[in-house]
Amino acid sequence: MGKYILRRLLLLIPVLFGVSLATFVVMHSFTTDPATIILGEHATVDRVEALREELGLNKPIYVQFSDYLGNTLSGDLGKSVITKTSISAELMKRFPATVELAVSAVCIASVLGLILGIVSAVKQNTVLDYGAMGVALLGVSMPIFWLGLMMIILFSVTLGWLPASGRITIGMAPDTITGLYLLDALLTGNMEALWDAFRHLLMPALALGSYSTAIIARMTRATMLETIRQDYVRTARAKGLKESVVIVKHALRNALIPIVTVIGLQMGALLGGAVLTETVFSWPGIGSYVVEGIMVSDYPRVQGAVLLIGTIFVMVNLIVDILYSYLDPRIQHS
Amino acid sequence: METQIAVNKPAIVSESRFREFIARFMASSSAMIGLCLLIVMVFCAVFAPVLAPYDPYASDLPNSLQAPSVAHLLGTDELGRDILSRILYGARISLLVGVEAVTLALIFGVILGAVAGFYGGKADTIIMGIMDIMLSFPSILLAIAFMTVLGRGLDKAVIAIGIVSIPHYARIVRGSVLSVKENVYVMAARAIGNSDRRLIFVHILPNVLAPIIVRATIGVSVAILEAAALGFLGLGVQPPTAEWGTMLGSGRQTIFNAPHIVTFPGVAITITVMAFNLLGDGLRDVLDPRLK
Repeated sequence: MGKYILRRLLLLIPVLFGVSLATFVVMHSFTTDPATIILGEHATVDRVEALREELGLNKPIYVQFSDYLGNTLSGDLGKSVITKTSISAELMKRFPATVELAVSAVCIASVLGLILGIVSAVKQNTVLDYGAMGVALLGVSMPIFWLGLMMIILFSVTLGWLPASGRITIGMAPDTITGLYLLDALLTGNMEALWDAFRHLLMPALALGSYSTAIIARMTRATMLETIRQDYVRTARAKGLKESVVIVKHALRNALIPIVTVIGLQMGALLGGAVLTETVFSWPGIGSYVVEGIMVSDYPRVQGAVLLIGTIFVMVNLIVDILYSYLDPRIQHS
Repeated sequence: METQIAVNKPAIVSESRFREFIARFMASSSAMIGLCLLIVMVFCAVFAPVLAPYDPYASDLPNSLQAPSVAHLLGTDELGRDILSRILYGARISLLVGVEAVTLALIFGVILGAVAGFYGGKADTIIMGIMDIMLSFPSILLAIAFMTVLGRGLDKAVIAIGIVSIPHYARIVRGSVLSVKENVYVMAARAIGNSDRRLIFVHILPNVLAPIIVRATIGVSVAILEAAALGFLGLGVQPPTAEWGTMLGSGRQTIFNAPHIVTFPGVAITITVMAFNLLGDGLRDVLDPRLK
């Protein structure tokens, strides 16, 4: 097991190098000069040249990549060409917001997905099954940004129950410990901030988690249908155990490994969805930072954020792989 | 006489297989519902000029932001354009983007996956290494990055979505080719002197079609969702073109006083994506029950 983890960690080096190279290549394949894009077509040649010098675009491409790699390794992702602020600092500031959103979405999706999947499998071919799978089908078919807009119309505009945007009401942010508002509010005992942060988080997390809820529900149904037909489940029933005990302790426990894997993989997939959800709800995370960067053609900002998300995606998938082999000892790694 | 029977046999087998496929397809409620929904969407797209009650691009400012009424069944947008007409015309763009992007991804994905699986060795390592790196990014993020590079517009959205989908097809084809290429009939075909290209395209690929068709059908739904997302972010199809994602993006500004503008294009996207998902699920059950 130790050897396997070490091997996977070593394999991470070429993958992360590849991710950096891919980000660099994509962002440097501009058909138009980035300096011209940033300054506009009417900028003077001197200004364009000055910006090219500032961005290091006059150097040979391999020198640019080597500089970029060196700076990235030392944690420096450059400066925004618009705001002139450090991209690493801005990403660090926004990182907890995205983590809070993605983790909440995974929690909601796991609970809802498991409930839908279990109900659907236990009541196979009944109205409940069709209803649950219908909800799952809607979940994979609806654009999450549209679901977000519909939630804003219903819960903010019509009912006035939840705030339409932002992470917390201005002036109510709890003292920073982890940067995760819910956790910080709990740790500092600031219940007012906790409630406010929760109300802001609910809609974005539900919208972001909708797709994952559907995937988890489908996977839970499929694996539960397999396990509830096994002999040991029949034996448990024959022993006279309560149906709830048979389902949760005997069937679900044995169906959990593939479900846990899917939940883990959804964590990475949610990072992509966060780009859209954060835009809809004006959530101050990394996703909205990317989109704002694109709108103002701030390509170092986009490059830094894409690299960070790609790296997190790879790390999350690695952790899921390792957890998978830990959870299922039958898997041998040579 | 015997020769005659031997010649006709493959045709009979192929015909009965096709009949069996049709019978199983028609027995699958998922596939049939998906197909019916899809036929409706294609009908709307093809006959949009006939079905649309108004010109989708004609502004009518005095009638802007009108709620649904008899005159405008789904209301009007911020420029007074009829939303129903724009949704009907938008079906053309969404279906086109979905199918074109998947075709692009299929062409490159199938070739790359087949080469990697068939030849193995360095070709496999290099091709799948690149595919794995592409899969290291959430696909919508990679598509956004490509759009930043390529610029905005319909054709560029097709290219961006097509490129980010290639690894999914390459992986499926590689896996299938690896399992099929060791079969006796492939070895026999090689022994009688068939070229590598003929082995791949005539003897191997037709036998790995099932997973490719299933993935491509569901892939169209993913492509439509991604195109709508790019349009929503202002990176895809540009206004005034009637595209569902773009309509959602521009309607977002008036969500508080005219929520109907963002409601109906989203319903259209959901129905279309659902049609492809149902069809894909049904085809999976029909073509390869083991994948269920």
